[in-house]
Amino acid sequence: MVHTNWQKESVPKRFGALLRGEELDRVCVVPLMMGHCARVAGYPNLGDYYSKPEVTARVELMANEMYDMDQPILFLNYGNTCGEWGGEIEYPYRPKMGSIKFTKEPIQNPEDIEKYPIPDVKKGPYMEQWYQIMKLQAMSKNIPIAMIRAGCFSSACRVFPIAKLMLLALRQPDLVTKLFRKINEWGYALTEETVRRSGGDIIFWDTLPTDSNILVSPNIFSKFSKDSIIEFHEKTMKMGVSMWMTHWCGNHNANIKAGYVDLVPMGDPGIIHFGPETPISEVVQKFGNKNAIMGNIDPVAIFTQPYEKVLELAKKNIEEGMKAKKGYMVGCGCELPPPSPPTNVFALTKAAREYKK
Amino acid sequence: LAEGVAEGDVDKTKKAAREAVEEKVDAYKALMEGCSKGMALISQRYQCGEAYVPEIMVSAEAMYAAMDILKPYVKLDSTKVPAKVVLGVVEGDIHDIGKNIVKLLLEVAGFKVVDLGADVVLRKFIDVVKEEKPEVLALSALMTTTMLGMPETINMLKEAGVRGNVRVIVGGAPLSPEYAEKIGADGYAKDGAQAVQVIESMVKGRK
Repeated sequence: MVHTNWQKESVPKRFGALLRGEELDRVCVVPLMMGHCARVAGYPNLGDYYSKPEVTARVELMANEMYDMDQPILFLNYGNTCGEWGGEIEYPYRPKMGSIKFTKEPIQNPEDIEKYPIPDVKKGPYMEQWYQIMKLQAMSKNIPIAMIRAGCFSSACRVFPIAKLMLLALRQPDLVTKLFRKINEWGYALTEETVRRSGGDIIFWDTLPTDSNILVSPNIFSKFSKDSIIEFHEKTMKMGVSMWMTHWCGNHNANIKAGYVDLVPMGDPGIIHFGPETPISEVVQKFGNKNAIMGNIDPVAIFTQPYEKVLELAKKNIEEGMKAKKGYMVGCGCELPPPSPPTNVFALTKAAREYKK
Repeated sequence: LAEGVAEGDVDKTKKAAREAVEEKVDAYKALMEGCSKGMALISQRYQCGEAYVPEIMVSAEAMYAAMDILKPYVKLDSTKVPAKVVLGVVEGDIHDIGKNIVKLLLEVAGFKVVDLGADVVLRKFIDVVKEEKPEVLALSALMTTTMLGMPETINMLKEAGVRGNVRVIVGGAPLSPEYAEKIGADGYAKDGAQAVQVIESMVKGRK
């Protein structure tokens, strides 16, 4: 068993207490801080951070302690789904790279979708790192959060080229459905194995940039993504996953308006997170009674604006966010940009400490 | 032809293009008033939130099908030089679907586009600007982690002494007009259709 009883004993304590609905000594700070941790730890690029679980865990724990924040260890799956499925990836060892690059999707032709084999979740590529990071989470008593996959279109575009995928959605919709189903089947097998090893005390994390209304209409989302994500969340929670943390990356306002986001089961409370495109007041109003809310300060502002401005934005976000009944954590609306000035990042903690004082 | 493109109907556009050829309609006129107009229609729908990327992709497919039929009949005016745009996604960023839409719409609008692709090493933008002498350099980034490559590229243009020779437009989901101004870009566009409008006004402004 990888981890036990995180809901009572694990760290970060404030994060666990928030999910249990307990009163906190101050606002919880979870900035979605990933590559930035490697930067402040002195790494010249993000390659080791994204490829070596021991580096992921170490730099995140150190940055979290340094900033006095409440973020559990977060990680992307180490092959970014593309690698796990047999595609080619490049780790971000070039200084300008911000994340893992998928250089060649494993499926290139529509006619190969049906026959492409579902990867082995025990011994397949990048699986060793997946299980290793969870062991490290357990060793550090961290509440285990695992990025199992990235939404529906968002995962599928890592195994099949996005331009072709967008065309298929209108030209051969049955193939898109089959591809989504296949990725879900892989996800179920991975969930089963992960739960078997961890005992099920785990939060799954997903992110949905390519399912957003920057790219697809609410109709397309409804036709392909909605039922797939609902089924995936439901089934994995039945398999033993505690709850979901979903980052609705990009602009999902049309999906929210259509009522589709509301249909996705998150567990109790589950953590819901939108980009800065959705006002925090609206997030609280629509989801604050059933989900814990992760804050959404504009990431661009955090790394381009002066400290005083970031502090002001953080306070405003907290002011609105704290109206959520199921809990709120101040955070960034997408991944905290790795080159953000450390003082601006600290502004989130400062705002959390000063709130209501 | 315009309807077929806007609807993403490949059969309809092929049929219309063949009819245009048979009826000896000027092929350039058919391209501009048919294909180009069709893409403009779908772009407008995209800007209004009535169409999305899949719809643009099928329109593009229909347009290319018609272009293949019409192109051999286009009589080019060798004295008319189209404005040139160098286009690319900055280093570290592989998200190129927005850039590809900009490229498509620029080509349809009559620009010559030099597409450097995605994850472009910043130095390459400078080298290509020197070599190709474009009117406009268009930079795209989707990630907050990579958009810093934009001000760096603009600074490199200054250091290379070619900043005054080229207008710079930036675009991509995390960007804003304020950020574009702050980093010293000449323009910003929130989507492909707006990119064409801004670039057109940039080019007109230089003439």
